[in-house]
Amino acid sequence: MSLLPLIPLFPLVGAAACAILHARTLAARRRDAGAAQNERVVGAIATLAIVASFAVSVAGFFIIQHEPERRVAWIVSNWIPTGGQTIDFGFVLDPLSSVMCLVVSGVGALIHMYATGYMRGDKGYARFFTYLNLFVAAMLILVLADSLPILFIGWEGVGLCSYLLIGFWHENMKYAEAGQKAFVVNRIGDFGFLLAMFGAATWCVDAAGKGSFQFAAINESVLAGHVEPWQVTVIGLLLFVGACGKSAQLPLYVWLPDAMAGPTPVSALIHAATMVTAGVYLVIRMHPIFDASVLASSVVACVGAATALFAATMGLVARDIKKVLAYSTISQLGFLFLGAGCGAYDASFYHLVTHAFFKALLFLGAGAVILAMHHEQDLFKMGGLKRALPLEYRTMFVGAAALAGIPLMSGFFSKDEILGGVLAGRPVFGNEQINLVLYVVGAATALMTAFYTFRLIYLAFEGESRSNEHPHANPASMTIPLAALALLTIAAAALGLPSVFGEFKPLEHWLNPVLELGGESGNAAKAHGLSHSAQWLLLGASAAIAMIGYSLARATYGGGLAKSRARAEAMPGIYKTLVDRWYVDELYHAVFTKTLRLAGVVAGLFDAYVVDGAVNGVAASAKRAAAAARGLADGKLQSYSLWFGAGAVALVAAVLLLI
Amino acid sequence: MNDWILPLLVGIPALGALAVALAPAKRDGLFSLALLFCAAEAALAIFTFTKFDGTNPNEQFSFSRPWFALPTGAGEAVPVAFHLGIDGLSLLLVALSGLLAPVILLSAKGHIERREREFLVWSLVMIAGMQGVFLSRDLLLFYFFWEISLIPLYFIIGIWGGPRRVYATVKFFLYTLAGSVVMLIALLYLAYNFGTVAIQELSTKDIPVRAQLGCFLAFALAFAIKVPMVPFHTWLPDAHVEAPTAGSIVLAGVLLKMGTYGFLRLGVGMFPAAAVQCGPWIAGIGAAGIIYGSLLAYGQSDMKKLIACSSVAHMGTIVVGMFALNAAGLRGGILQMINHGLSTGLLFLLVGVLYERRHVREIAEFGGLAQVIPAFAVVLTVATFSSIGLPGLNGFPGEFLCLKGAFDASPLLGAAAAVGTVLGAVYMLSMLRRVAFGPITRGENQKLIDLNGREWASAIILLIPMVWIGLQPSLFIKPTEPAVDLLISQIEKGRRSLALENGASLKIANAGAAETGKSGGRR
Repeated sequence: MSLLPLIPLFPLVGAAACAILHARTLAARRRDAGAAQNERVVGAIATLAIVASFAVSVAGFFIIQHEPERRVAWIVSNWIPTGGQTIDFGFVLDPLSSVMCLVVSGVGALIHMYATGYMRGDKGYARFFTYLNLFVAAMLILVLADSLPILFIGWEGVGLCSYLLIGFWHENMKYAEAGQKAFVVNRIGDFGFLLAMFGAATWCVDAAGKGSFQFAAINESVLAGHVEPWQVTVIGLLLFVGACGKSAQLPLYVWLPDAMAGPTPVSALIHAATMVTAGVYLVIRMHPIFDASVLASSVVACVGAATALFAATMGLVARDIKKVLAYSTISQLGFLFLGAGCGAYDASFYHLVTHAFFKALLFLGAGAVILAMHHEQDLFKMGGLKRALPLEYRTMFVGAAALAGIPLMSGFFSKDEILGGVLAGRPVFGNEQINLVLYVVGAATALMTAFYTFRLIYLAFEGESRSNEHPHANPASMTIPLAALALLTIAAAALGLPSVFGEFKPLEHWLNPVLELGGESGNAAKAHGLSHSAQWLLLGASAAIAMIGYSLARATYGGGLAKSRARAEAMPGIYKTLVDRWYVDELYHAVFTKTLRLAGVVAGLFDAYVVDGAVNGVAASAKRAAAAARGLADGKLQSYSLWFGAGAVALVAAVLLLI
Repeated sequence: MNDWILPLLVGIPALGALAVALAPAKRDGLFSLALLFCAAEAALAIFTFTKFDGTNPNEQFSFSRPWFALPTGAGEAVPVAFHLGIDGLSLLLVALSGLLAPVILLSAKGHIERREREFLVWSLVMIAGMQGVFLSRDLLLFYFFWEISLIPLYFIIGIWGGPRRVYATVKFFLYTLAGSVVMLIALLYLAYNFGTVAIQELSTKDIPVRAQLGCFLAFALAFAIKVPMVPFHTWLPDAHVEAPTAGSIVLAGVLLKMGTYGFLRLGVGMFPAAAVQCGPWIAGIGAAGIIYGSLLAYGQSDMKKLIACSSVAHMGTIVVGMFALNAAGLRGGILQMINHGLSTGLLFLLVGVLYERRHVREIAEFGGLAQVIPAFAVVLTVATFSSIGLPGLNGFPGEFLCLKGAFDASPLLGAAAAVGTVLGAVYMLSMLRRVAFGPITRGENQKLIDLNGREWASAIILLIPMVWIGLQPSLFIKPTEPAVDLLISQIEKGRRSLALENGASLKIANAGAAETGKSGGRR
């Protein structure tokens, strides 16, 4: 279908147009023409580009319903002729990529609209929208790709835009450093991704012994058992290394909290709703590999669970409103991997979609609060905003309820589906006891999530104001997206209600052609299944957990900061450890950054004194020998070269004579 | 008609050198004259690229005239021909050299304030010499151009270079000369033992494996110094730091590729059995060079030295790809030679832009330049991401193929080489950040002037192919395919003769063992 390339093409053209407008603004500024940049034109171009993408995605969604396998492809063959497996430039729209396109362009369009208000007056307005449009284009390439290398284009493209947008206010060295950290940490993940890509192309062969970079061929090869089990495991683990970088999982999560340096719409779009889910998308896209390797899928599940819990602990004490949401994002991404690792791909993807809505909503709400408070991000300096910002309060409350898993909200159901999937899913490391442990970890994380989410709401909106600033109202361009996302957050529940509410599961049915590759094993969680009574029990437990977390937050923060201070003082050790983020950044700095710097210095010294010393030593001794032999004081260049040459000649002559 | 293309590719810059040397014009006139010749050279190089038949594995546009005969003590004299030809291995390098010719001159316009006529003459001679190296199909002619191209850079660094230019030039000159001398000996050995110096003919001869090994090692030393491979690399940072911008661009852009090209054309092409035998070792040294060069780069505070060390790492990637000795690696190696020339050439150009304005190259002297000179910062960002292999720019397809080739040869080699993708991001982004981002720390930088028309022109000449290769790599890989396939059949031949040799020696060893067994039994 020739419509497919249009999906990323619109934002790409939008980016180019914004770049040209930015160049014109710069030129005008240099001439001191003083012409203000035309923000309206830039904002309109950028937003409409994404809206156009969304429209094509919707069209695509309807078109593939009439296709036999619910998929259409578009290919330009032989993009890179490798001499072995060719790399075609191909897109495929199937149920999975189609939903991703809708979410990316849909949420992306809302965030673009929001950003036209948020970035008003910034001197890099057009530059911002250049990067933001470019990001959406790269993200759409990532989800549409039909092979690993094409996905990698998008993968690196979103990494570049993330780098540029985290360091958008580059005058601030801290922000620039945060951007660099994100890119470099992601490169560590990419190292795994690259090797996984080579391994898959070489090892995943078809019946005729031919390899391929294409997802379909790789999955088929694994399903047909043409690959050695250890090779499948290696590919799976390496892919997951890549996923850990992009989706901020242990031990590579450290870049994401720092990434909050970027403007808030960036955090909402890139570091919550879209880019960071790419790792999960990759795992779901290549799930036959994880289905085939117990080790790889178990590692995914355990790392996910560990990350979920670990990040949540840091969310409990963070004071920066965006950092709370950043830790929450890491934690929720951990949930997605936990579900995917146990084979509950549908649940994981369901939560991916609901999370995209409610986390984008929360970030945009946080941005509205920050802007209203004149760029104050410290929750301890807010309070009482409910009155001044009623719409922001209501919409953020909806987002918080979803994140905390308050019953009947979309996040409640999707999280519960993951937890149910963990219990019913394939045994982790072949041991069902471990599933039980992972469930408990997930439940504990859910408790913390409910607590820190409502902590945020109470600190920002309830009680008395702790600030001297008078909050100002936000423009409609910012509040409309908030309202729209709140509605989506509520409505998204319907995408995958648990089966106790009937077999109305549109998302799961829609995804079946992708998720049921390889039959039932492709959807391990469903294969086991949970009885209705067990499901009711889990739902009840989840509801209780959320309400306990909510009550704890209310009890602690309902009346200002006094109680929380007292609690923090009651356990200073734990509190400080959490505030200092378990000292992981310090540890990494000491172990990796310093070691690398030291290695650079040592290599420099070694190079200067040993390697170059030997070179100069040879030259000097040749010179001395020449001076001695010929008794000449002025034997500079000539003797130097003569003896050097003669020595070399003798050496090679000896070698040749020996032949 | 077509057979005059190649002599013209060498001849235009050579004639240009002559014209500039004799012309009566004043400074600006001289420069325009030289630029005219360079523009013609670039146009002809692009014309060659478009006219080239990408399906033909053999040399095209051949030009061959008898030159002289090498007398031998006994028997017939060895004929030496002035034989030029182009094929898939040299096509991209010829195009790159032509394209860089105007960039070299444009970059020098602001720097070279004295003895301009000499500078222009040497630059043009250098371009002629480089094209000669890539086009020669005769060993002695190759050697002739190889040496010719050495001399101009000696003068360019020695006369217009920095404060330690004498040390740098002597080191550079002697180091490379030492390698060349060794190569010459092997060359003469070949001439006297096989009665020819035609590269094509020597490639079809069945040279005994041990002789191949000796000759390969002799050539390899010359090439390893030129590339440069660790541990023969120390002349490069010194030469770069002292060289004027034009010298650095030509050094990184083309001159180093003479080494990697030599490895392909002569090392693998003529001595395939030896290449197969030594391949894993050379690839291993290349991988070590990637990591070592990256660490060196990370430790530098001088921008030029940093880029020079990054060249050591990037050339290591090329070597790893080539000595994977498979299709992906060879194609990647050839493409990556061009990519490195473009991105590193642009990086040196940009350092030159700053040096021209501030007369310093220390990273710490800058900071926050994106606020003052945004266009410069944009181009520097593009060059940086090209250098670290971002998809969509030229670095990606080349690096990808090199790494894939390495992985196919040995997953561990691929993994070791891929470490460079992480380290590359570390040192390049650190430099970009410290130069372009953060607050403006020095007052002198407040009033810097952004890229001017001349600088834009040279940047754009490099940027266009960078983006083009990134978006449509197949256009640049495809014409190299048949020649690479031919090289691979040569490698297969090498593998066979090596296996035969090993089989023979195994038989001898077995016979020997049987002999001793017998004698032992008798005792």
